[in-house]
Amino acid sequence: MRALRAVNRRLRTAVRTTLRNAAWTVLLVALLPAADAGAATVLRWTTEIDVAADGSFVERVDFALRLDDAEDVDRWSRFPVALDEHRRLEELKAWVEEPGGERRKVRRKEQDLVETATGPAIHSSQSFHLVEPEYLRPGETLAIRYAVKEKPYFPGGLVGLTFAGETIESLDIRVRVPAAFDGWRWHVDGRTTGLEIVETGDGSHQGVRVRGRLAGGETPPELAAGSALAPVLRFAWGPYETWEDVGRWYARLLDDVPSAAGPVRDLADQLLADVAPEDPRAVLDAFVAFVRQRVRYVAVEVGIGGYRPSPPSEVLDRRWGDCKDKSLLLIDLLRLRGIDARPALVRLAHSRRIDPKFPTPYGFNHLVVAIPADALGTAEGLPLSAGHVFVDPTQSLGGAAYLHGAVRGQDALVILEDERIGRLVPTPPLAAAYENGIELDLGVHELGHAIGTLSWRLEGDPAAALLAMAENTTTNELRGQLRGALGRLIPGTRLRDLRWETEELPVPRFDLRAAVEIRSFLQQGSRGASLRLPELAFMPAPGNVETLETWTLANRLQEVVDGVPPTATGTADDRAAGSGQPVGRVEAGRLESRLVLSLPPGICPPRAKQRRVENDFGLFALEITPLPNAGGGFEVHRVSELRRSWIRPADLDDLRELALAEHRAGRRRVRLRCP
Amino acid sequence: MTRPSVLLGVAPSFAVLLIFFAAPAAAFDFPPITDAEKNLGEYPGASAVILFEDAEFHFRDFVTEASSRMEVTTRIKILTEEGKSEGEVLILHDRQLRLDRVEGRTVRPDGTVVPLSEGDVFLDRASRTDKAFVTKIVFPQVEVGSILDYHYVFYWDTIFYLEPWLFHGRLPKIRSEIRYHKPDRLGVKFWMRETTSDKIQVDQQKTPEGHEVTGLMTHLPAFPEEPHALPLQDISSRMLLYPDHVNYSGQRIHLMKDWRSVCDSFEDGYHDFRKKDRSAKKLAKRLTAGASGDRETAEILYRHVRDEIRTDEYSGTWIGETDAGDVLEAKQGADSEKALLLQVLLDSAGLEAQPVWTDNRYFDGRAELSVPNPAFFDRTMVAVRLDGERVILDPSDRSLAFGRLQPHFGGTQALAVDEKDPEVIPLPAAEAEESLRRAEVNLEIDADGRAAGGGTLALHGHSAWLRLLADDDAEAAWTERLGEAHPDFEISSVQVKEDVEAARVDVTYSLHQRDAAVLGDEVSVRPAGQLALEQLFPHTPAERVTPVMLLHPRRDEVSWTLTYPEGWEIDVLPTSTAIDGSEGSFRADYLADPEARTITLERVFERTSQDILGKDRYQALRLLYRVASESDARSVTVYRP
Repeated sequence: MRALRAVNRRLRTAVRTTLRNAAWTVLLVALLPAADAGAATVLRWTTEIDVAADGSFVERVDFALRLDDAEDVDRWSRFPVALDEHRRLEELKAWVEEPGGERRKVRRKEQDLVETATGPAIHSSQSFHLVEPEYLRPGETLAIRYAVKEKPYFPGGLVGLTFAGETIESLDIRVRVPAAFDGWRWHVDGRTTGLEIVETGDGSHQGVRVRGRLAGGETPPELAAGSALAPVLRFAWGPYETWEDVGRWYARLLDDVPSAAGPVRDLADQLLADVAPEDPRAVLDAFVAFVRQRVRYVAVEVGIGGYRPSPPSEVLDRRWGDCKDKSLLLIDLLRLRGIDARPALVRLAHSRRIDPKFPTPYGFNHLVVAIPADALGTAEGLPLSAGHVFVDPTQSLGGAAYLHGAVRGQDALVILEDERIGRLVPTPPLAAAYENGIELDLGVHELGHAIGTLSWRLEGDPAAALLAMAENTTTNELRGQLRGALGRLIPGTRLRDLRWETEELPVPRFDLRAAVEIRSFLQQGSRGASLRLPELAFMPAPGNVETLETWTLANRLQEVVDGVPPTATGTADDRAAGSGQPVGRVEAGRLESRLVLSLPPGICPPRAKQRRVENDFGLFALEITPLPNAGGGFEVHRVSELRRSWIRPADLDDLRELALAEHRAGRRRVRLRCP
Repeated sequence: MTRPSVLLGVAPSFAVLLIFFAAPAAAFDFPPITDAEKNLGEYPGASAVILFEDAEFHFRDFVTEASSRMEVTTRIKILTEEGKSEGEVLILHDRQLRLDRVEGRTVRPDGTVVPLSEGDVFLDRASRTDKAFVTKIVFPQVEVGSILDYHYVFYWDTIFYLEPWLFHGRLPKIRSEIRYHKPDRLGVKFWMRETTSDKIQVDQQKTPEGHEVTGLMTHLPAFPEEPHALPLQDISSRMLLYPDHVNYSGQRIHLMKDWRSVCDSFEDGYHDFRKKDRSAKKLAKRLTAGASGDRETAEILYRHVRDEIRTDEYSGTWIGETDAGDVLEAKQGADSEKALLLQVLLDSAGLEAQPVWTDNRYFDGRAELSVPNPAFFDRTMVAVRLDGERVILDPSDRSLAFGRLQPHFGGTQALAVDEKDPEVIPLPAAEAEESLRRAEVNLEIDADGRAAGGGTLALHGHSAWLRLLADDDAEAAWTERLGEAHPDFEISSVQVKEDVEAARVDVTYSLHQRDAAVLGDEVSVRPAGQLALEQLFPHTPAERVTPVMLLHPRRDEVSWTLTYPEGWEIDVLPTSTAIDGSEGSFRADYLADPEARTITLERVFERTSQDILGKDRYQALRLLYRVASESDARSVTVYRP
């Protein structure tokens, strides 16, 4: 359902991530032009990453980009090199190669430095050295050679093997670490068409080399996600080879953060003044409400502060903080009351997830709280997975019972600080956990116009998005927005008397009611009267599923390309299934609709009809039932349900079957023929 | 605050940029919080309310002071959880507009005062080269009921580029006030515009240093961000005091007395730019060697500057310390520099040309030309005389044909820059026919019940320009767009011809029904296809707060034919529809020819206005879109009995 997806998208943009996810190691990401936009050609792109004995590395990049037309010149006249507190520019040379072979140096005055936070942070230590050559003309080649020295916070890194969607004629990425280093591992995820990937090494070093040609300009299919979007080379070395080890690394960072200071204790007492201390659920609700509503979200990321939270007492004092700050404050509060609570690193994203086979903190961008279910007595009604209840203090609406969709269906690294290890567990799935339903009760009069009422009940993410909109805009503005959304959902609809109810509930809920009129809903044709049911499309379009399937095959997305020792890999099933990474994503959930239609005299209801398709991925059911007591009425009951978000290649047949069933059901007119 | 109320940009300052954070020696004394402010718990429809926003504007006195100064003090009350986002404030500043001091505090609902600490204020460098910065304030301990106070001071040196004080904003304001302080030696003029029935209360007083002029408004409603809205500058009440002249060493020096004096002030810089043309004359001669007349000469030179010199920024009327030779050599420049370069080339070719200051009404509203203020203009263009007619050229946009303007400039007023005889010239507003979009689709259903055929789409004028502007793979983009418009069809063989000079885009394509959509004995199609309209104006006239501004008038035509096989019949043929109102017209005529087994649709939508002011006109626009969108939502159905 497009309107539902639209509000979901709004929510996703509203939920903010605040754990730095190695943006500085993904080359040239933040300020590059949008992907798939141009015709420029990367003639060469070489990156050499040499790791020194002290664990720092120098990244030498040499690339040449031919600008084929005036638009390329506009797009590439500003080239960024990402820097940070621990990532320093050692040298940079840039020049322009003219078609005749002449070279022009890019002068100092043609370079700039901007310090700007990317993503949700209001301030960070990130900066960009910009190369902005004058004199650029189509046909010329922009060449840049630079070296950046990085002291990584975690022993490893990653290189995104894409260049804003441009064709790369010659790609050569080499990573070398000293042979004496234990735990060397690497992994290439995603589209590997055109790439040759080999392990390298001699007596002095070990490493990996990726080279080849990457075609540009291809837009990933609409449903593409995860590994289908762009190839990534991940590498790491050192003692943190498993997820348990990565958890140990993060636990060490937390050691430096003082916890449970006096003000936090005072606050806990104050918040629980009217709460029964023996009721852990009530304690949880009180603390969650405080951290979500009384500590506002503001992210400041300076250096290691991109990973390490601020002390809870500081957060309490200023009453603002990012996801790490809010999570640690909640953890402190819960622990003070004897409730075990653990930090959990997670990837907050719609179309990306971490690679569970490659232990590294760089895939995560968010911190939430995981509470062992037994610490709460009962976890009934709470978002539970792998023995943990997951709570995101960054989201602003709902109680502990509501976990928004952007962290569902992901992998979380729960940090067991006492044991000083991490445990990778799945977060609760994004399934049909919440109710979404539309009811239309319409009467058709002689002219064919349908008049009646509409009620729309939304729970969970879409409801939260609408509630946020209701808080943020005027009633009139929201009324207009709702009219627009419903107009797109049921084209040709006129809505009046829009009313909605909002109340503070553990799970956000939005109940909308409206008077509705659909002009020319029933039409008299040569075959008698007929009508077309509102589409209420929830499944992806069948063509999009087919395109994803073609893309998956063409880009070798199922191949395993890695150098990960067996102990560090995922399960045997992961290997058998390919890279273990999904290739697409849909909005899991359920839409149930009920249309009750009374007909004018002389018009008969349609024959009873049932259609039901159900498989592992979901369900589509349509039932048309004449209503005996109405004389001329019928009811249409429809259910569309997608049970999983991530699409693996093996799911594509099931998804196509569901999409086709829903698509066809909406295409044929319903005939109203008297016997 | 995201946009300072004063912009300037001429004289580079020699002063060092310093930000004094809460300088202890001169800490600002915020006014005491009144009981009314403390007790205010809600404001209709608002998540936060500005209790007051006061500005003190001190004109430099030209003798003892090198800079003018503005001090702004703001007090906000947080009313709801959403309102807490007002607790982050951004202030933009650079080497010309220098931020001198920022102070602030949170006053909690219980009256506790929490001053900003060092950890609550951040300075980001937006550009090392331009010395541009963003100061970010994150107020501590913000909760519902908190009051946020902040105060900052700007300095700048130039006397031009003054922007009016905007009384209204996105949040409601209890009070908004500006007080201008001017020294006696400075002669000023006064301008204001009221956009609501409320009046600006103006007060003038003599002070020991000169005069004070105060503008005050109270209980100002918020103007929410609505789709297709006029810029805030157009709907807010505004006030400006600007310098007419200064008496200096017994002489009266005209400043912003009239457009002539303003043009005169700029002419030195423009003259210097043009004087050092170096290679321009040779270039003009070389480029136009084979030209057969003035028009062709002008076209050649226009295209050269438009295409060969990259537009690296839009600086309005201002030019940097550069000249025509520099711009030619660098092959890039600001819009103003490209315009002056084009003027040099045209002059060199013997054509009469002059710079024209123009106003992008989308950027910061309509220019008020009764005030000789160059800050009102956003782009410099060139006027050239051809066959006795003035042709305006905008060489900053590679998607623009010779003599065409972007839609943002249609119907605005421009200024032909001349130190002796500046002239206000109206720029023509576009007509709907100029921005035609015409779609033709022919579909035929085969024996298996699959519809397939071909289509064309022709875009003209501004409709074409919008497409020409896009920086993407045109065929891929059209394949995607057409696929979205025809969700049951596979789109193939897309060919796109883009012609900047003719301001025209032509698209041809094939389409055939996807397997998933083929029912075998029934076909339903929505004929309006890619030009189908949605209701863009879902708000009722009572709900809509601000007037509507649309990019340009437009006309859409659809000519659609469906041929069905022998033995098939028409099931549903939508009724023809027509409406003709003050804001445009819509007509959809369906015609069935059973003998030829064809159904045709001829559909015309025309939107004639750009600005829709007033409830009645809004209602007419809304009705036009409602009728059109409801008609476009209908399908034609044919079937095999």
